[in-house]
Amino acid sequence: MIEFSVAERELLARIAGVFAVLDPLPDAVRRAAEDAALVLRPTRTWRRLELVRDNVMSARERSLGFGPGGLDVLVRRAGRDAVALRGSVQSAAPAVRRLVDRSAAAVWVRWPGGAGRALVGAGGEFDLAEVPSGPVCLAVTGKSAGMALTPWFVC
Amino acid sequence: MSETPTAELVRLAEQRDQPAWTELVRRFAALVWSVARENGLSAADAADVCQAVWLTLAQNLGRLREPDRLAAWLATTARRESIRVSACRRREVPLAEDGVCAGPEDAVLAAANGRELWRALAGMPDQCRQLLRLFAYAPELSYAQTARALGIGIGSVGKTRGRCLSVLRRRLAVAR
Repeated sequence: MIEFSVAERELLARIAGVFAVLDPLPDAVRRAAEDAALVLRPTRTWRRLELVRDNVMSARERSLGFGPGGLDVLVRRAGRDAVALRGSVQSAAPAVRRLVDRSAAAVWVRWPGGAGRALVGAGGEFDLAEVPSGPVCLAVTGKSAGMALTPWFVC
Repeated sequence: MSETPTAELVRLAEQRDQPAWTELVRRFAALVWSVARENGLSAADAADVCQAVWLTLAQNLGRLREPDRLAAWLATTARRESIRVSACRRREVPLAEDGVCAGPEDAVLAAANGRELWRALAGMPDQCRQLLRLFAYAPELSYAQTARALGIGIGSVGKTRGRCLSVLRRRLAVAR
């Protein structure tokens, strides 16, 4: 450990205080960090969502629904090795309504070796671009207690 | 939980103890953020870096060789990820142009003599500002850990530290 004098420690504390005001850690960044462990290491306390609908819309699009409740996902091919996932979280749906404090909700997509995250908009919508093709699972996290996790599916 | 040693928090988090993980985030999230920002990233890119760093940690909790030195691991990982993102974006946003010194925080700064300090810091060489901000959030780092986190030679940490603190004190004295 590097030795600092009392005066130096006071100065460093002031520096931390200034940056905390002028370049603060955003709440959304902190929440994402808190969610990271849950998403990668889900526990049995998570609510499970099951695939209840899988409709082929065209050669490039599939529409998936997870329930009970309302997590709808449109899977669109976005290049040879990637897909885009666009969808909505329905706050009225029993399975997920408790988690949707929409101002704080996020949808995570996890794939082997990585993960991505999108904030849920005011209307419940989310957009995850450039997700690698292959097996993925989705997790919906919120500020309030409930959380929901889909099984792995291939897209 | 706030008194629990970092290594113990890592062990608990590895066993899926969410409060332990939350405490790790509380202790070190600002450090990760500051490293990303001091590497010239915009707020949006810094947020991406933070997400990647915490996901990497979650994936590697059981493989940390020195869990008591988590701050150093996070700072080094954040720096590497910041460099990767910078290379992808090929753009840099200087800190002073990215939404600072405006709005209601002015009163806070004035009250705490923070404005002088901010101005003094903003005018310093990047390496000095990076070093001082790193120390501000993680004063427990060793010379070797600091060198790795900043990508500089271990032999220059001590001299750089002394020089940067001297420069900052001079600037503050002149401002008064």
